[in-house]
Amino acid sequence: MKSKKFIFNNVVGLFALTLFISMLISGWLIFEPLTILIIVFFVFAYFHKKLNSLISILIFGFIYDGSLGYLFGFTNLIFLEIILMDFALKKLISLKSQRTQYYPIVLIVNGLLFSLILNHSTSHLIPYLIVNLIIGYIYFFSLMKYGR
Amino acid sequence: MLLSAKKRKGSSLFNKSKTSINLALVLFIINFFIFSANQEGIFFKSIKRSLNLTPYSLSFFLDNLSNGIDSVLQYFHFKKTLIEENHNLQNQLYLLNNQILLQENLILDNQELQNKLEIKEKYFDHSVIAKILKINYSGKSHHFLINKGRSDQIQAGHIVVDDKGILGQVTAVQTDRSTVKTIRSKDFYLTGYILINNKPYQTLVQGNNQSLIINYFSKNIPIQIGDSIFTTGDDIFIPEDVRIGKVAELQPSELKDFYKVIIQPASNPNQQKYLIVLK
Repeated sequence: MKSKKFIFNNVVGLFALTLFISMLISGWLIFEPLTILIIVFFVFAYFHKKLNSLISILIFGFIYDGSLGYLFGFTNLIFLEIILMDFALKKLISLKSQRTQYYPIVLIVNGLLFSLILNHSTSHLIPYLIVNLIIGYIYFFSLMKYGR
Repeated sequence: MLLSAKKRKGSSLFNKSKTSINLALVLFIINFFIFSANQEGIFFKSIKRSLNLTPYSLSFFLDNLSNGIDSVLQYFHFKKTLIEENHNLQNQLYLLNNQILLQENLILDNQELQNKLEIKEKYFDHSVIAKILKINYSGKSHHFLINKGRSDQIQAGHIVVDDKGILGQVTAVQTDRSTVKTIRSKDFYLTGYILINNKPYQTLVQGNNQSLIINYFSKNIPIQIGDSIFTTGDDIFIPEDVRIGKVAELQPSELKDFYKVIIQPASNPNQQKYLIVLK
């Protein structure tokens, strides 16, 4: 129970950090909407931290949407799409152990592309993708290193 | 890449067996309905308003934070300036207090000097006013230095007085300073007289390092505590009728018919800055 509580608290802290960084970056109005951070957080929390409670993550998603002014359900749709994609990939392919480190990145990219399908308001697609992927890559490996 | 389901299960790092695909699908569909619903409705709007942590509010917070930091820095800067100012003012106050003390000392010195000059003019024509030097005289008790010497025609044996009475005698003379031995010193002898019922009784007075004593004084003479004793002037240097002190105590001596008289000297060199040397 204790360890579960600790993980949950830790995930809450990580969510708060993600939300804060998102708001900080979106304050510049250059990279908005910046969904990559919450996608990275979802992938990290769900797959790496093994946070089994789907409801908790969905509540995080609603808070994130409300806080940043997105349409309700936007980030949760991305997240659920990632889970479904994970199921689909597991049914179709097998991953060799040395390549599994790229697997979450594949999921993150998938989530990002899905977010573009849902909300294609950006006019500069290529710079948007490059910036988002760089930020996502840095944030994911930072979480892998320090978020344990 | 396409392998059987059994193999796939074991090799995946992210094997979430507890999550049901059906649940995920249902949630996805519900979410999609929420996403495509009218988000401008009262229900969603009220939730959004309660979660209104927009970038604007963040930038507002950051602006205020920078203002706050500026205010705190200004406060510390102001405090530092005030402390420095206070320090400077305290220094000035200290200097002014010192000046006042010096002036007060000067006034006191002046008064004492004037007093001594009056005495000199009134009683002692051939005399010099000397200042006591604040030098520790080699640890020798009841001795001190004055700032007049041979150049002022001072000789060994000259008597030193203050405004209360006889204080001591010059014992050694240098060019610009002299050594004075006080009357309390053990080596000091003096002849004096006690005036009892307007009748003088001559006696020998000696110092004992604390006060003066008369070793043997007849009990037949009606001496009383408080009687004054004066110089007789039998020495060429010692003038007549200078106050020595007054009787402080009458003690029994080893001889039956005599008192041992303790005399409190009138003068006190510790309270003086200037003295009169009688020539």
